[in-house]
Amino acid sequence: MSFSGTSPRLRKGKKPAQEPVQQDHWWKVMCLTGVDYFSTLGYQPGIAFLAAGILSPLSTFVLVMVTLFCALPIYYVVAKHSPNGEGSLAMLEQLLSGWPSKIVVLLLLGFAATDFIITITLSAADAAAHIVQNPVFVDTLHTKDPMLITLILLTSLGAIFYKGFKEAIGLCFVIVSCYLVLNAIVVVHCLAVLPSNWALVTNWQSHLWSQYSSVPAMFLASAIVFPKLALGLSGFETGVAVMPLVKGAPSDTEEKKDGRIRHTRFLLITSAVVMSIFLVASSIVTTLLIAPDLFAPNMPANGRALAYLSHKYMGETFGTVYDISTILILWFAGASAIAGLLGLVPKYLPRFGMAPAWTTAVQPLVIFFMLVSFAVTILFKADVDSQAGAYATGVLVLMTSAAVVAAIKVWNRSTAMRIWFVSITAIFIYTTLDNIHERPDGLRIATFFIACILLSSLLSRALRSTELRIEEVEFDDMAKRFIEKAGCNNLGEVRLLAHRIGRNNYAEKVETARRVHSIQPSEGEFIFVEVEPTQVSDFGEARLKVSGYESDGYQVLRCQSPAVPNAIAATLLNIRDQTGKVPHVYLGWTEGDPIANVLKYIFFGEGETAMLIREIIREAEPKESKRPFVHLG
Amino acid sequence: MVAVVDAKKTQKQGKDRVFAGAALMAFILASVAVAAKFAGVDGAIIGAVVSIVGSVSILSKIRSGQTHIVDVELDQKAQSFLDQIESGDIRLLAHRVSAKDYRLREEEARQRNSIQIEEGGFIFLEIDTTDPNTGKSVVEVKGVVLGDYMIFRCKCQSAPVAIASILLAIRNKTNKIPHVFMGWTDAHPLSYAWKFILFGEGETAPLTRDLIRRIEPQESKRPYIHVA
Repeated sequence: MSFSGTSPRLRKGKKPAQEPVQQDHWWKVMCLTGVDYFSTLGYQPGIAFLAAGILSPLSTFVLVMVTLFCALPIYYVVAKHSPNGEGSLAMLEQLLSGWPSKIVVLLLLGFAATDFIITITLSAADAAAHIVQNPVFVDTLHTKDPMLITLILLTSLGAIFYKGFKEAIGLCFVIVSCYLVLNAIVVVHCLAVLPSNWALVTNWQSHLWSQYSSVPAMFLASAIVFPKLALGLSGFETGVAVMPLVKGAPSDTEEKKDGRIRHTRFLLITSAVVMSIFLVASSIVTTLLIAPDLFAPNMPANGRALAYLSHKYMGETFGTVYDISTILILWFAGASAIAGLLGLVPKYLPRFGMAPAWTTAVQPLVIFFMLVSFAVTILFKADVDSQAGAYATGVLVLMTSAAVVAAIKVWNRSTAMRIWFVSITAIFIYTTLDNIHERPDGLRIATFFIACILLSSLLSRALRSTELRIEEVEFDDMAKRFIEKAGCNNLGEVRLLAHRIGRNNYAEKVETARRVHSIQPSEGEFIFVEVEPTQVSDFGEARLKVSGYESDGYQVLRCQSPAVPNAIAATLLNIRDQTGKVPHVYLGWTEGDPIANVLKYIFFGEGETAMLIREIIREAEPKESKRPFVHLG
Repeated sequence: MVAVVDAKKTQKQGKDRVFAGAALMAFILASVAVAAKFAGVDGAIIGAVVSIVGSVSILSKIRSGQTHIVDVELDQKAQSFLDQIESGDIRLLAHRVSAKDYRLREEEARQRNSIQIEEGGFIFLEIDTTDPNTGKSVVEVKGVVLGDYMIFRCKCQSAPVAIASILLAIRNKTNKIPHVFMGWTDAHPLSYAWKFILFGEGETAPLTRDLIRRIEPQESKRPYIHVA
């Protein structure tokens, strides 16, 4: 999807957002999304015919209407609100907060991954279909097994990404232009052939009238099969994702990117209109000129309807040129999907507790995605039609989320807008549910990805939970004074008392602590330490600010951190370094099952705090005599 | 399957652990295979998840149920230690049987937990867990004096059970709430969870605390467990 300026490989260890991106004219950037969107022409006419039969042109017309009046308006709105390529996923995340936002991101990430993975496998499978059915290639290849060829295509794709993918907008531009021109020639030629084969048209008409009594009945039937065609909508999310690459107007500033938004809208409209024309025209010619049984699996037109026509009506040479162009664009669609995955996944994984450094390791990710692609290909036997449902599910879920976001954004504009966008959302929700119901494969694959994300984040959390992670602790003047004062006390020991933030029962807490830990007043005062838990984020984990407060005559140290045990451990180690004395911290037992507490830590980052503090300190300080004392009582 | 692991647990030997682990894996794989046979790939995934979650939760439930406190018999000497401490708190200091240096241990404990001389002393508590004799449901505590130090010695398979039982017995006898002081063990908390689920062993302090928490619902009446 997004060929984001630099190769993903170069991104290692850097913050993606701050990199300068090489920008280009919108019509060139359109070709980036085009490899995904326009390449659909390779298989869409065939899928439409298998789903709708002779109604295919009408169903495609419904698809075009949905494209122009539902999908396009949604992304017209989304483009305005995500000038930096955030897309609907980030917009939805911003609208929510806390756990709901995390869950939504997790679900959408699962479906987005499905969308991209099936883009890879479906494109490769369709490219294989074009290779297998081409007489010239088959003679040189000595194999007619589409599965084998698909796997070879996938391997070469993965190998290139493993070495590091240098994207080239220029190359995409050439590929997409060639493909569109060749398609235009084929479609126009086939339309020109129609008058001389008028019998096919009348035949089709009589078939249609024998099955359906009226035109509304035909449209109704077409609308019902529409969800099966929905994968023709795939390019829009990509369209907004590549926004950072679109050159804006010279008057654009960091805050106001009107020029870029305008140009992206040109991009979206142009690609939607071009695609609509091609979709309708190709569905007409393929339905009329290809015998119905040739669309079936293992038949010459399966997965390559337009290529079949080009061979039949324009000769083997032109057909082969057309095949090469199609294979290239499909192959590039897979490449753009991998680039999209590599851009998307590392952006969101830190939300689930994974270290940013881990997620930017591109090569293991590429291997993982390639293995999944192999599995999907083998699972679906490299069949184009059976993968379509899973693909459509991914596309539709993303579009539904975009529709929801767009509806929220235009809510206050006017009643008409509100009704329009709410009905769009309803259409997409219905289409998505219908699609999931008919073809649950997409849901299954998405569930697999969601499970993978959850599992790896649990694993990473378990492994990382006891790393100190905080590199720097900064005390304000008040906090420093508390610590100095404690150092001059009767025994000169610094004693921290962990206290849950928000409870103001300091006196009671001190009394309990004195009794439980048997620290008499002559042995020194306690300093309370309170950590306010915050959201886990990519940055800002390495620095901890501790400030001192007086509350009812008690000394309180306060700080904010996503991980309470880590913050307390870092504070202790820092006090030790500054005072040269080993400090103490006193904590109470957490209620609950010890096992449950460990599991709670893995899932939510909270649990038996004392044990975790102790473990963090143990790992950070190898010398036992220098470890701060953690008391649990 | 559960019963197999359970029975083997009593003989703490490496071979049996391997066997227990293998049995658990075999059970999970078997359920996956059965599920796969009847319901395909989806069935296999569901089967794996259900059997893993199921066996882990069943085992951990069994572990918790298994551990209950036992009766405690203090011999005369041991009883006399408790009688000696009239005012002040009763403090037990968990002590490894093999470690002999009582003076060092006490000094360390005083410094760590900030127990001054005038606050009182400790009674060392040594539990021999190596005795395979599991028939007894009574822990016999022997009082021993070595130099200036008072020591409770007993034999019990499970240290947490012994400590919890002795603490509660002391509380019931003296009407004072005793303390026990333990040290941290050097290992990752996750490894304890895993060990506890599979073999019923884990870090002593949290398990002791868990036992006491279950038996004594009233927080103010629970013996104090210190880890430092």
